[in-house]
Amino acid sequence: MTVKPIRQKLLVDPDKELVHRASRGDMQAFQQLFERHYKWVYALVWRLAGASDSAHDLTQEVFIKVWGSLAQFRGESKFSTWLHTIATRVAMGELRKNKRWQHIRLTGEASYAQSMTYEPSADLSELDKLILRLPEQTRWAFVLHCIEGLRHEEVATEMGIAIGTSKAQVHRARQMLEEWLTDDG
Amino acid sequence: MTAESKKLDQLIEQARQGKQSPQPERDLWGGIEQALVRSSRRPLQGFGWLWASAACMVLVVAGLTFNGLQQTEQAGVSQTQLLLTMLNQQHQQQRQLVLTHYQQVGWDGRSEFVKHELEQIRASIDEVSEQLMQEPSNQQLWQLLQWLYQKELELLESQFKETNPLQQV
Repeated sequence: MTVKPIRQKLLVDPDKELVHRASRGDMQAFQQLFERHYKWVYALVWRLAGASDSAHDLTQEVFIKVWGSLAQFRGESKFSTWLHTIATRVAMGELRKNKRWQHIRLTGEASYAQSMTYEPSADLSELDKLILRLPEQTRWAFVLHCIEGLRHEEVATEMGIAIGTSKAQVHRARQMLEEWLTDDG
Repeated sequence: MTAESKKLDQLIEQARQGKQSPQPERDLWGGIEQALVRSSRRPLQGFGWLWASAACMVLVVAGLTFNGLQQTEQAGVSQTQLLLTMLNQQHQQQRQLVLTHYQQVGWDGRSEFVKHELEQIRASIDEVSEQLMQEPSNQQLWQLLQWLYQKELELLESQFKETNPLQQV
């Protein structure tokens, strides 16, 4: 089962020893950390990115970034919480850069979202299929708040928006998703 | 609460629990590992702290031992043994760290010359350690031990630097 860092209640960090070893250059320990966490990291960045191709690259980017930043990890929070923050920031940072690039490339088109031709896989859950249809900012707020469990204050910080905007985006996302559930039902 | 709202809450809860989450369709670790190895091919500036910490450890321990053992000659032998064991363990960890790093970037340790040199250094470390058991307050011996530890790490690194260009080819 995927472990959601936000809701972990245990006080002891199960990754502590591996993190310690990895921070001293032990790549095998780092690989074990990767094996423990890559599935939920992938799911997170996939939902933020809204497409599987970028999610592969983004997940790799996240772990490369983590390796390079391990020395800065002080253990004040759990490793998984720290990893979650890095994953969110790397994913949204890259997506913003790509969006700017796409905007230049696709001048004249209504929006980047409309230009996407990604076909959702049949293996996806009903929710994930619908999430793909949400506008990007709305999707980010919904994913971070409703699925990942971040408070609106945290969502606002990560997205660089006002708290009220985060609440409005989540409200909008829920309305759209409920509407689509009615239509599809 | 509408039926759609309830259903949405159920779907969100399933997603939170990781049920039927999107999964990668290809191996991701291979690419990460390559990127990490590439980045670690840069000069090993990061190992400076290893030697510095080893040197500091030996000097501090030697100083403490020198003072402490002068007062408690009787207990000195066992304390020296304990300290030597600690130092050796610490050095082995540092040595293993260096070796692990080199193996990750392609070092295979095939040089017979370096292997011979390493064996000699290891033998010297053992000899000096034994001698320290007899003369625990000999400051120069502690410094020699520190020097030998450092030489072993330097030798390991020098082998990597010599073989690296060939590995690039």
